[in-house]
Amino acid sequence: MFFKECKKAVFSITFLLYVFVVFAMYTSQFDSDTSAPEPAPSKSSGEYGYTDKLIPETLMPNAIDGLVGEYMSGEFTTYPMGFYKKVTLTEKKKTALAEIITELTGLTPEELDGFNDYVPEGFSYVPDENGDLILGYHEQVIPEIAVPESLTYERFRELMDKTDKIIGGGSYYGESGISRYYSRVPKTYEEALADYNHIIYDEKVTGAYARLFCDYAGIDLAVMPVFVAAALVSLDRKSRMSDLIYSRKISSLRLVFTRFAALVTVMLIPAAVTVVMANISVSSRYPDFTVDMLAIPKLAAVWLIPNVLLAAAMGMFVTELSSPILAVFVQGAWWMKSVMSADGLTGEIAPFTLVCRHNSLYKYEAFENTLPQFIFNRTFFTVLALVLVGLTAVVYELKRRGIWNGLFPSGKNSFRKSSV
Amino acid sequence: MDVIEIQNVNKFYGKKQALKNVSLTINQGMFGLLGRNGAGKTTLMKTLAALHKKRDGSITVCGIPIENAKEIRAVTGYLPQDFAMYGGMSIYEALDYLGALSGMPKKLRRERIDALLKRVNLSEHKHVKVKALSGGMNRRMGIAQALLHDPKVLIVDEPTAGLDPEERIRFRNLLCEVAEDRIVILSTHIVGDIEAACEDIAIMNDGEILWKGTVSELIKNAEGKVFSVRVQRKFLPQIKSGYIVTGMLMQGDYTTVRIVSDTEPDIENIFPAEPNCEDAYIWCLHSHGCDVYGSEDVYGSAGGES
Repeated sequence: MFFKECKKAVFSITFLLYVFVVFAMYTSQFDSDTSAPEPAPSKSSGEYGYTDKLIPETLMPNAIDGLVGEYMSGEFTTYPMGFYKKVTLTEKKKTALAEIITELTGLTPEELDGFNDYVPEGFSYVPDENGDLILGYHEQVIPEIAVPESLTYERFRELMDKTDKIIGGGSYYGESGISRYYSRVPKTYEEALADYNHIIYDEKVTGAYARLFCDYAGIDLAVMPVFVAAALVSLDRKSRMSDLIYSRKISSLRLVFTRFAALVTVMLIPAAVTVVMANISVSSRYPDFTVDMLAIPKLAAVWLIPNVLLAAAMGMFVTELSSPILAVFVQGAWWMKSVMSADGLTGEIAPFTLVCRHNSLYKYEAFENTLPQFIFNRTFFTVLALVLVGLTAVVYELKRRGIWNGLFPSGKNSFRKSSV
Repeated sequence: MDVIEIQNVNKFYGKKQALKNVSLTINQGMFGLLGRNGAGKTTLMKTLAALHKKRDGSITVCGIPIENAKEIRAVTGYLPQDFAMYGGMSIYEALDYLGALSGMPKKLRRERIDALLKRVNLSEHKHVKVKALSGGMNRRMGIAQALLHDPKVLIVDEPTAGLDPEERIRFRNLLCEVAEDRIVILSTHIVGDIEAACEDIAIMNDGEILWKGTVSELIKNAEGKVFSVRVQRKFLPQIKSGYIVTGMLMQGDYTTVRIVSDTEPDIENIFPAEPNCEDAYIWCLHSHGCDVYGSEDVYGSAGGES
C-alpha cells in the first residue's frame, strides 16, 4: 500500500516540478554561492569584510544622516511585508518628523527647508567647478550635522521608533531596519581570522555550510510539497474514484497516514540527494581540512523535514477540506508572508516563523542565540503537521460516510449534487 | 444470513427528501431496482454501500447494521454509476491497488485477480492501461474490482448504460452467474436489463418504492391494459396526445402503435395485446399517479434503450 502510494506520487507532473525546483534551487543558490572556498584573511589586503555590531557612536550619526537625506528628498523607502514601497509624507507628518530631526540634529525646520544644495546619493547630474553639469556617483550632500552630546542612545531609539511609525512601518529606522542598515561595521583582521578559524576548525567546514544549505533548501521545501500533496489527494476526485475507494475496507486513518508517509518519503529523496551533493561539493573544496560529513545531513534532518511535513500536511488537509487550489493558496500565502516579512536573513528565527533563515556562513553566535526558538519552532511545525494529518483523516471519514462534504463542495464528487 | 433488510428509511438532501419511508427485503440472487432518472436509485445504492447516511429507519446487510461502516464495506462490493479508475494504471495494477485497500494479502490478491480477470474475459488485457479500455471492458473490470474481496453483496449502479447490445447481454449474463451465490442489486432505468436478469424487482419513483414483487407479477398487473392498433401516420400526434404510447412500429404510411390505458381506447380496429415488461413498467408508473404522458425520461429509457 505504501509503495503503491509512493508510485502514484512519483508519476505525476507536480512531482517532476518539485524535483526540478529542488535541484534548481540547489544549483542556482547554494552551489553558486559556495563555488569557491572561503579565503583565509590576509593582513596585506587591509579589508576583511563586514560584521554587524551595535556601536551607538557610529550607528547614530549614520542613521541620522540617512533620515535627513530622505527628509530632504521628500521620499522614504520602506519594505512593508518585504515589498519595496516609496512613501511621501503629508504636511502634518512632515512637520512631526521635522520636530524629531530638530531634536536629533539641532537643525530647525527652516534650516532644513532652506538648504538648497541637497544632492541625493547615487548617480546624478551635478555642476563641476566650471558650472557644467556632469553625471557621476555622488555621496549625498546634506546640511552639516552635529549630533547633540546630550542625546542618549535610548532617546535616539525612541525617536527612531517614532519616526518609523510616522513613515508607516518597514522603514530603515524601525528596530530591525536600524540593525540591518546601520549596524554594519568593517571587521578587524583578528575578527576575520577568528571567524575563519571557527568555520574551518570548530565547525569542521560543513557545520557552517549546513546552515547556508538549509537556509536555501528551506525556502522551496516550505512551499513546494503542497503542490505534490494537493495533486495526489485530488487525484481520486479527478479520476472519479472517490466512491470506489470510500467503499473499501481500509480505515480512513490508515489510508490518510499511508498517503502522507508516502508523500513525505518521495519528497525527501530529492532533498536527500542535494544533501549528498552539498557534502561532496563542500568537502571537495576543502581537501586540506578535516570535514564533518554528518553536519549537513544532521542539520538538514532537523531543519528541513518539518518544512516538508507541514507543507504536505497542509496540502492534504485543505485539499480534502475544500480544493487543491485553496490548499496551494493557503500555504503559498503563508510562505510568501514568511519569506517577505523576514526581519533579517540571519539570527532572527522566531518560534512561529515558517521559513527559518540563516543566509550566511558566519554569524554562528546569532544562530546559537536563537537555538531554543529554533528547536521549539521545528517541534511545533512537526506536531502541527501531524495534527493536520489527523484532521484530514477525520474530514475524509465524514465525507466517506456522506455526513459532510467539506467546504465549498462542487463537482461530481459532491454528494449533494450526485444523481439521486 | 444473506439478506438485506431495509425498514422505513428516509434520507434528505437539505430540504429535498431523496428517500421516502423505503422498506425492502432483498434475498440472495439478482434484485432489480427500476426507476427513471432521479427516482432515488443511486441514493439508495449509496446508502446500502454505507456511502450515504440515512436520516432514520434501519438497514441491516447480512445481519450487520449499516452504521458499522467498516464491516459493511468488508461484505459489500460496489460498482458506482460513473465507474472510473486511475487512467495511468494497468488493469492488474488498478485491481491490485483496490485489493490492497480492501486489506487483502498480496498472494491472495494475485490469485483472485487472475481468477476474476479470466472470469470477466480480461486476462489477455491485464497489462493494458485503464484509459485504453473500451466501455464494455471498463464495466467488466468494474465487476472484477467489486468482486475482488469476495463480497456477500454486490451493488451495481446503472452498469449497462452506454454499452452496445452485445456487451450488455454479456454483462447481464455475467451478473447472473455472480448472483448464484450472493445478493446482487442491479439498479437501472433500462427495463430490458431487469426483464432479462432479475426475478425480484422494486420500482422507485421520487424517492418512494412504488411497487415490489416479481417480474411476472408486474406483467400480470398490466394484463388487459395494453392495446395495439395500426393507424395512418397522420393520426399519430392525436394518439400520442391522448394516450400513453409505449411502442411504435413504422410501416410505410402506417404505424403500429402500442397503447397503455385503463380502458380500451376509442380507436377503430384496436385490439388487446400481451403486455411486455416495458408496458407493465409504464402501467405501474401510471397506475400510481406518476406523470408519464410525454415524459422524456420514461419513453427515453423504456423505448430507446431496451
